[in-house]
Amino acid sequence: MNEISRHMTDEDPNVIANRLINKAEYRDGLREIVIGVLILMFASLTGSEVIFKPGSFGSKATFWGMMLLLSMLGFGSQWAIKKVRKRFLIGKMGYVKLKPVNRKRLGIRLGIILGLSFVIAALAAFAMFKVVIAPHRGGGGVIWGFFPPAGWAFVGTGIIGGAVMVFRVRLLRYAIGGVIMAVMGILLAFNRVSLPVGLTTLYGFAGLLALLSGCVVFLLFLRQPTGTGE
Amino acid sequence: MSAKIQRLAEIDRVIHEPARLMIVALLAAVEEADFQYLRQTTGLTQGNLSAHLSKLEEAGYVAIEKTFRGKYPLTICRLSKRGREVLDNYRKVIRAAL
Repeated sequence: MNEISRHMTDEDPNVIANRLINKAEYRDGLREIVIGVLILMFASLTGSEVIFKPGSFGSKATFWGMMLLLSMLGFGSQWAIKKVRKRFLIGKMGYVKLKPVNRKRLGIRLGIILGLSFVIAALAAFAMFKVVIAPHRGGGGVIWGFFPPAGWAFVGTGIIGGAVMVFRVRLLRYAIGGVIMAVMGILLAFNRVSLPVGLTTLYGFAGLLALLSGCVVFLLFLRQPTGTGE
Repeated sequence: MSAKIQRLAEIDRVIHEPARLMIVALLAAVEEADFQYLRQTTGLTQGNLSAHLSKLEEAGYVAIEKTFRGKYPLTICRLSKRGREVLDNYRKVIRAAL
């Protein structure tokens, strides 16, 4: 009896099974690499606002190029991971056919995510208004509590991003990454950097961390011996 | 209450063993999985997993199919209808008793 099987009688077997399947999904680091690349693309989107003048050709080209790449990677990554695993990693990963997705449940989840995104976007737009537009109208910089609005945007992004990493994946390395992201957000808020610079730093750091961690996990996974089937 | 506790005596001993319960619960959460996936996910040794799968197959809870994907041998395991019923019943009895 191993450590996992010893807990089978203490918890709902279904919960443990789903946790094990989730753990298996992140075992080879491929998902982490994709997540890292996605976050780095977000970083280059916000970074283009720092490098190029708003409305310039460079800014527009970066925006549309990144949007195209983001949508391609967003929709194609699941398929690509599946293909790579089936073609190259089946001896190490093993074969599994997951149950078909429950479309109704997926629709509800997407609705909740879109709703939350809308609320966060509205709050971000409000913060942007206070940071960028209000000072030019003679209102002066707005300070809410400890930080200016841009600072709260970093704190919010860091904590929400960190919480997603901790509670969605439930793996130790993601929990560490989540805590680092939250701390990074708070540190940026204290440094009072501008919104594009802060978001680029935050996303860039989180993306590099995920990419590096994914590559290390992937290399370690490749060094594991291949199974014989039975 | 005592009647619920007495139902614990009806628990299927094949599925009650923690390693086998883990295998059955895993197979209930997916359509099918091969031996290697089960071994990696459960952390059981090759011999241990093989022995537990044989017992589950003998009891009719798991269907095992040996096949190939290219040169790679696949031992595909699926939870049978009987296995699913036994797992559901196991959950009900345990929940009611505890």
